[in-house]
Amino acid sequence: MLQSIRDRSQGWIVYTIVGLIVLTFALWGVQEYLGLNEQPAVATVDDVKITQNQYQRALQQQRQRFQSMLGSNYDPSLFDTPAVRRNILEELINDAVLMKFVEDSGMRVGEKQIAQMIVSFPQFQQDGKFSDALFENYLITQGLDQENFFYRLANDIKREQVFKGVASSAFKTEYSQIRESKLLGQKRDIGYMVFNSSDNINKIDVTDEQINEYYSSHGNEFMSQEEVSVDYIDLSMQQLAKQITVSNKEVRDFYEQNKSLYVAEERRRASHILLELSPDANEATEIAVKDKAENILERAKAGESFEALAKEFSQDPGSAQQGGDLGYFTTGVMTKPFEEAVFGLDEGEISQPVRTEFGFHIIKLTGIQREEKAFDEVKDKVRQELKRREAERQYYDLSERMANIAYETVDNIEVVADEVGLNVQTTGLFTRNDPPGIMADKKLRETVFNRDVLENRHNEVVELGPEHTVVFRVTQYNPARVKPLSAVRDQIVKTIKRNRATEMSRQDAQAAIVSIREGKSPSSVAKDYDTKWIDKGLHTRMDAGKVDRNLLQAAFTLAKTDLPTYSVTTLSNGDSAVVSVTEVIDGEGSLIKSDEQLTREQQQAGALAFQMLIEHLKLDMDIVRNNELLQ
Amino acid sequence: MEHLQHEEEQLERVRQWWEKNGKALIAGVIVAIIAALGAQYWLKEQRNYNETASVEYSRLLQAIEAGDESAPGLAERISQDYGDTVYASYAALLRARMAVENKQWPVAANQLQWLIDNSDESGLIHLARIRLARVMLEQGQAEALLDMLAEVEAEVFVTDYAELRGDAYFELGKPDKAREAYTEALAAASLQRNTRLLQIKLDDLAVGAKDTAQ
Repeated sequence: MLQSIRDRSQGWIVYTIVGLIVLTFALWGVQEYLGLNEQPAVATVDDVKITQNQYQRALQQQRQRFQSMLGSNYDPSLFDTPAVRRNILEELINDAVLMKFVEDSGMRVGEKQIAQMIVSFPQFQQDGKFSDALFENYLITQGLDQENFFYRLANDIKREQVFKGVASSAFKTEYSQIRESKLLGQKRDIGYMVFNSSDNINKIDVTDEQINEYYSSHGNEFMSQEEVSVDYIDLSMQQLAKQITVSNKEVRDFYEQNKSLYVAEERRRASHILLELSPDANEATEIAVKDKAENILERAKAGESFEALAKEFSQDPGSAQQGGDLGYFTTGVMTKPFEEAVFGLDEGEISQPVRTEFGFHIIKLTGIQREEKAFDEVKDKVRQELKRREAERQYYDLSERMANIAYETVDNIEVVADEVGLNVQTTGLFTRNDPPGIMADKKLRETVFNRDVLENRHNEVVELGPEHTVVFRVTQYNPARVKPLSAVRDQIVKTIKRNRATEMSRQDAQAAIVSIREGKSPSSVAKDYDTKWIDKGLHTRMDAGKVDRNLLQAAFTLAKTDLPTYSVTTLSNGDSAVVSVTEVIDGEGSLIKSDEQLTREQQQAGALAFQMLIEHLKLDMDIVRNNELLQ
Repeated sequence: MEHLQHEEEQLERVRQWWEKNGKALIAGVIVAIIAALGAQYWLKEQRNYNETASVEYSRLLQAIEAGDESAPGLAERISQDYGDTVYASYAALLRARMAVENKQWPVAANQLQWLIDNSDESGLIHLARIRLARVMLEQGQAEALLDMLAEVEAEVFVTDYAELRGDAYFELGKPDKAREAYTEALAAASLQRNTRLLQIKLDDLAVGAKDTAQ
């Protein structure tokens, strides 16, 4: 046996076979090493890869979040910036860092713990018990197998465990609260005098040289906005409907064939048996009353007269003697659950007990009324409807043809207009901020100002809504550029004058402080400068509503040793002021924060601690970000 | 027949080799199997141990959420029974907060100190030390706080440590050193941090006459 193998192993066939086997083993899995099957990772955290797929999913989720938050105000361009993309990636990286920490620190969540959690999920409960069927059904709809689901849950539990341990354990000490309240409650006695700067403006001459210098050194402050003009074709169903005429005969015919569509509002007649029960009744009472209701229901279903039962049991004084009859009513009259029951019944049918704020009702539907409306009453409506239908038909036909031709003709918009029988309209130059008429539409405007669209000047098709399409073509584009000096000269002169005027008033203020330090009283110095010293009294940092913001800021950054102290500041209107502090009284230093406020601050401190932990963990990890792969 | 002889010779050689090395080989295999089983057993025990700690810890979180009185006891038991797991560290952090809420400053300090001495996780140690420093300020132990922070490598926690040093110097009546520390804290603060109070603390220690503000 051994020998025969040895003999045959001389043959070339064997060499070939062995060779193939060796090759297979040698190359097995090599594509993994070469990364042939792999997408490029957008980032790696040590050996953990964050794939393009994960990133795209996170991006998608973020968009949906913003969209549902902002509704129609959602503007995709605001959320599709490099900064937003990098943020999303950073969140994924943070999570990878966290999961590595969880692994390395030996956190473990066993199957038992996960199972316990799943069993308690309300969505897997049926009749107060865990249901295997519901659970399996959920796995199928989510496209997960059990192992996968367990793995995810375990990770979620671990995330929560870390977060709670690190963040929920944050606290604020009394010391920090007292210190804060002393500072925020601190009052300073503030005095000031204003040095008007606008008086100086007329004394200032500005030379051409100064203007030129300002213009050349502040060029980027004088950019014009980019401007564009477009030709466009506006196709909307509304517009089409206006041009459509419908003959009286067509209206009549349609009415005759579709009378059932034009009925007065449906009215229903019902009888009921009410068993009174207040909305806040306890559970035991509720069950007792419900049982009684079901009892009566059974008797009614068994054939007993509903009227007789109503007379015997109903606690509705208005209807009991009429055998429960409530007469005809439309929707919007009865309380909601009652109405839903009535309008869900077939004629002659009796409902299950219905709970309302009055108690339990057993309801029997005794009549339905639908009246057709007369032709004269509805003919305008019919006409509208016919117009709408015709407009819709034309719209779908035209919008499709229009889009096709727009692409085929590339940049000839007149041909498109002829084909669909509409006019080409023209906007004239406009900027992003003053779009005329239809260009105010956000989606359309964003498309117009898209880089590629501005450059290639092709026909573009934009659907503004389900019944509104626009084809446009950019005809002229002026990029943003520095405005010529002649256009901004006046503005520059004004700015220079204002700056110089402020500077002059500031010099006065500084000179005034020197006089005060030399021993003159502030009010007499004020008189020298033809202004007034004002004692503003005690204020806290929070009094920005009562004192000029800059004044307050200056007062609260003054030294509080060797009072009084003085400084110069520029007010929001360009005037200068000398500010003084003559007294400082610390706040009381009490624990005045409300529980909610404290809880919120502790949560913020906790979130910060968690963030800091992640940042710290990153120090020891090798993180690579491929920002260029983010789209 | 030649190849038959050849095979017998080979068999004889195998038999000799087996007599000489057989026992050693079997012993080696047995040792290897025992070692592997042992290692597996140990790993499994380790896993079970960590998993039980995790269950206990989740119970603690629930107790805290429900405001249950058993929470402090549960937290202490986790620190004792599972002292070498990371769950013990989380339990200590949570226990410290409970103590702070009840103004039991020494209890809070002990929990945090325990974590600093026993945890393997440098990040958690930093957080615990920062919180311990806050408790020390509460207890008026500014001097000890400065000693504790003197040798610490701040890493990403520069702002937290520097602000705490500033507070300690402020309490000790050393405004110049406090100002220096607050300035350091502000300079290192990340953009997402709310630095309003820190800025106010610094502004409040302003010195000198300023003829030109801003």
